[in-house]
Amino acid sequence: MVQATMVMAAEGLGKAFRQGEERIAALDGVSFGVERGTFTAVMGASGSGKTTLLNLLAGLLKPDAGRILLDGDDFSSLKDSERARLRRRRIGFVFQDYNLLPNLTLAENVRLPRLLDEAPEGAEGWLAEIVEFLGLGGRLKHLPSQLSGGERQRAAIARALAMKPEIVLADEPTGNLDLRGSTHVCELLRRLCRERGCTVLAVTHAPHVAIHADRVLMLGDGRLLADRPMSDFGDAEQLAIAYQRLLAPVAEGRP
Amino acid sequence: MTAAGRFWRYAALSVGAMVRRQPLASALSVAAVALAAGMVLRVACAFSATSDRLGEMMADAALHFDRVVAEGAEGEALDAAIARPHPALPEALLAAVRGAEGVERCVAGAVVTVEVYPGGGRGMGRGRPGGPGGSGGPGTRPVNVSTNITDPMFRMAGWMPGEMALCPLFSPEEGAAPSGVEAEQWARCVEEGALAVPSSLARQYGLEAGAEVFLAGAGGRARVAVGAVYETGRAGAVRGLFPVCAPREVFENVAGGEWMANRAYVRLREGADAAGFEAAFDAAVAECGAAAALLGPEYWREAAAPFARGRGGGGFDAIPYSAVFLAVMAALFLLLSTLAMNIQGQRRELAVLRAIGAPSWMPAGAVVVQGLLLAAAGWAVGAAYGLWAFRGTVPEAARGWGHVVALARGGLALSAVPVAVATLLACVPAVWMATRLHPLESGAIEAGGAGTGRRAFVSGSVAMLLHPLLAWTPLARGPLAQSFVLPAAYLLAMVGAVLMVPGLLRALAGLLARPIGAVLRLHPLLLRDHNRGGLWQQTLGASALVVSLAFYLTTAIWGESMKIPFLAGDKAPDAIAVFLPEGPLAERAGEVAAIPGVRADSAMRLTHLRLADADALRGKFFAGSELILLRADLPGFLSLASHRLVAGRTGPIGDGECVVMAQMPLADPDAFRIGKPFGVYPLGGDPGADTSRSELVPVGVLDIPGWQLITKSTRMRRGMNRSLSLVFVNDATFDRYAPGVRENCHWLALEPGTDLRELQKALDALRPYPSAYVKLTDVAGAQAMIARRSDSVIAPLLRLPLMVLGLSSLAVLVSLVAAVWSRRHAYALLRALGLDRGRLVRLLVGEALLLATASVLLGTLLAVLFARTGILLCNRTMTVQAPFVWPWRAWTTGAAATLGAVMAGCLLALPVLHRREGAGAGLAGVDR
Repeated sequence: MVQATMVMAAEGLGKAFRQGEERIAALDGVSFGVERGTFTAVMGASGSGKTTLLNLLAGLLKPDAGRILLDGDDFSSLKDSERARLRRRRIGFVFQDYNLLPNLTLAENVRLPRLLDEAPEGAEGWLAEIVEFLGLGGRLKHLPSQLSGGERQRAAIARALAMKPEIVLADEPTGNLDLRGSTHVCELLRRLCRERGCTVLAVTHAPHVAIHADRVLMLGDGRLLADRPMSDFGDAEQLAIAYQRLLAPVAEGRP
Repeated sequence: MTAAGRFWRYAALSVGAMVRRQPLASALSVAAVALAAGMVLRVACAFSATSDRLGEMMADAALHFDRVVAEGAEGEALDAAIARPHPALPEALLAAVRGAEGVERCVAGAVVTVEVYPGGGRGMGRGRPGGPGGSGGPGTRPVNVSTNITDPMFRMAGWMPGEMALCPLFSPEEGAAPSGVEAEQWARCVEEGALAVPSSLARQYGLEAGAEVFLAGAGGRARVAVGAVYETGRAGAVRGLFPVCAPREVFENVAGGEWMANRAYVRLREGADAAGFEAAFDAAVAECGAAAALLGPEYWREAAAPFARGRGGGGFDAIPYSAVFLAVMAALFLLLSTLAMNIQGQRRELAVLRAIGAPSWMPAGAVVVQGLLLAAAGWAVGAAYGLWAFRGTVPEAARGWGHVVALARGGLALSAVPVAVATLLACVPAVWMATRLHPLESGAIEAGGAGTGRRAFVSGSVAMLLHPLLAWTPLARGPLAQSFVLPAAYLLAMVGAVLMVPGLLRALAGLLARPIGAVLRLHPLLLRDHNRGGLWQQTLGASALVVSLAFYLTTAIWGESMKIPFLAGDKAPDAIAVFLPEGPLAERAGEVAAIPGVRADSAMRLTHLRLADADALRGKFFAGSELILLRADLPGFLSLASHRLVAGRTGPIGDGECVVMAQMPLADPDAFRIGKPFGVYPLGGDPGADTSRSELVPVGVLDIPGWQLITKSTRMRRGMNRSLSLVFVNDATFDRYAPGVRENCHWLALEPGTDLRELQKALDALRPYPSAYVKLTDVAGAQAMIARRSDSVIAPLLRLPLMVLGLSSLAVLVSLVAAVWSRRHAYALLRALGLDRGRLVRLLVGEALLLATASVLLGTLLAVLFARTGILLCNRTMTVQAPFVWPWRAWTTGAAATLGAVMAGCLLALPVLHRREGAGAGLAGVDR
């Protein structure tokens, strides 16, 4: 049973895709809760269902089974427009490939979620603050093609924060960055939780990213294999060993 | 496997992938190519086949004779007027012709032009009464039988149901039967005083032996029975060839003069020396001092030439060819869009292929194979459709002319040529797109770049500006104008419009994003940004629409504008009465004005002159070399219908001076100027007239809208001959040319509600003798008929452009689906960031509005350029003054069709975004 104090929770989530005649279960009976103001890492091998889980949590996909609760309310059963509104106002999404619009400047890309809302103007102070917070102050008029990989990733994070979301969902936020860059991004996400009270849920398969989280969820073949506080693992090395140990039976096809 | 084998395997896979990924676009491309190929067969090949056949038929139109001897130095008898017979061919000349070596048969006879209309009796039916004043008397109104005008003679004369026909009336010499009429049949006709009518006329009026027709000529009107219908075999389209044949007594009554041979039909023996016969004829003419011409195959060929392909329609022929051209262009755009969409969908695969070392010809070849396969499938369907349409319609229509029209050999292959050319042209940019992909290409969207469209916009504007510079200036009048300058001007404008599309889209996005965003409750930045993506696909779609809309509007503007010179408008008399062959006796001439209901009468003396130096009229479509000479009280005439002089003086006209119509100076501004004399000859052989060349000096220029058709309807013209001008002179000058002619033409202003039947009766009472004929024309009724006729010509002309506009809609649809597809990542991102479906639809609608606005603006601009050029050209060649009339209804229809097409294209693209599940599923990196 998911606790009522959780900002977001999944209950028995199931999702399958069709590939021709074959039905492939991407997620199967996944349940967990995420506490407000925490940083949760979702780990798993490629094809384990991490991105599907994130898309379900963001309301981009509808689950075949189970439900998603946002502040205790069933989020997944809402109409498309209501889910879009919640996504716009309460959830920030950081994409793996940044997905910045190439024709918009960095400033315009960051403001984009606000432009989609009914009352888009205003909040310039907040936007300036997050841009400064992310160290992008001098690059506002640049197009994405004129930014480095790290800057693009930070711009994607800035855009995710534009609406002051309660929840930030990040899909492999450091997937395209080197170790230094990814450490910087992880520290930023950490600071978001600490200083801004955001709830962060980041998908990764890298232990050195996950160690910045408060909790770690491990997925394998669409099922939740582990849901433990980071303190259980100690450091990145132990986390990597535990991760390998948990995933080994899945990789060998054992339950 | 060999390199070729690997290539074909890859090409087959890529074709399969295209059909799987782009089923809609592929199907639409095939449909567009099919329609284009079908149109090539149906329109171009059929049009060529029929016009070629018609040309052949007319070139062979002498029927059973090889040569025709005609009175007059230029064979004028073939364009005979409603007048008394011309001076006879000298007996000595006829004898010389009969005795010339190689002559097998020679039938001499007399020809005049008469009006003919059904008069009731057996064989009549399905008729409806004509308009008031059309016939010349109570109970004798023209009754028309057929409403389906199939005979080219009538069609080309612009004959409409409800009108009477002008027809040659022929009477052969004693003892000879007219060509085509059996000797026994003719003997019976002579005995009964009946007519032999050609089958073409009989078909049109539903006549058979025993029916009666009215003939009206210079001698008055007569009701005559039809004794025989003779088969022409071919319909006979050259004027004066297939006459109504009358016994001598009937002829003399109707023609108003004694029979005299003014034409002779000559058949040469097989293998006879035609050149020798012509030489003998020339010698005989010189010996007799006669004015006579020998008309042979060259004459018929010349007569047929205007009707042959591309030369006869006064611009009308260009419309079906333009429609075919634009249909092929639309197919090209669709093919290109489909190929481009496929390349867009295969970017990563192509990049990977390049990265692992595949040569660039491999994807290039695959693209060409894809294009050719789509085109081949389309052509196969189109050829089947075209053949079906051709066989179902063209021979059926041709049957009415007594013809067999078959598709020219090679027609099918011919239809494949434009399809193949369009396909290869579509493949060029597609191949370029496929081969320019960098091996490190990702699926991400590319930035448009700030300068995209700006240079193209400037270049396009310059190209469009060059159009008026080339087409509206004297450059378009030079010897190279038709072949090079005008085509170049049209092409420049079209290319310019296409080049302007991206820049205009961007400019409009900047200008209109805010108001459209306010209406649709979207931030302007979203519209502005989205207009930067998928620009080339939008450009393709918009270009097809721009050109099609321009084509549609050009036709509409041209049609509406060219109607004006032929409509008299408000400035016209209420009615015109022409007395044939001569006006009331002198002591009763003033009684016309006193008839109840007549408010004012401008009584004129009417005869005809011929322009002496007609070289200036070469190539002028509506300008004949004849002049309608009028002696009128000019101030009275001008005040009758509020006409005014547009140039020159308004005072009395002196001896040898004249006032001419504005169209005459138009024919050649250098030759016909105020104060510059021009030469004339009299026509009609009026006894006592000075028949030598003389000169008239224009002192004023007058413009009467619609005078050409007014004079045609009222029989002020000679037969079907075209006139260059009304020429107003004083009594003394008129007497020089036609001293015996009384006041035979009356332009009348009537009191409101005047009964035209009563007026006709009153005018009939003024005839100098009972068989004389008064043709009373209700100008308003004639105008309404002309307007109906114009509309009936314009309406079908607009159908083709509308079809092309519809076809372009397909191109737009595919292009917009391609544009949306190319930006699916961006849409998916917006959806992921919280854009709900409603807003997504509004965003697409906003884009559609911008695209439609750009298309309508450019299409309208292009149409204005094209239409103005067309009107200027037509004004010059037709010698008319058509204004530029804006067709609001057609513009609204075109703009609505454009908006609808764009809107449908954008909204039909929605399923593309929802084809895969989930709002964010289009984002790169999304897997399970």
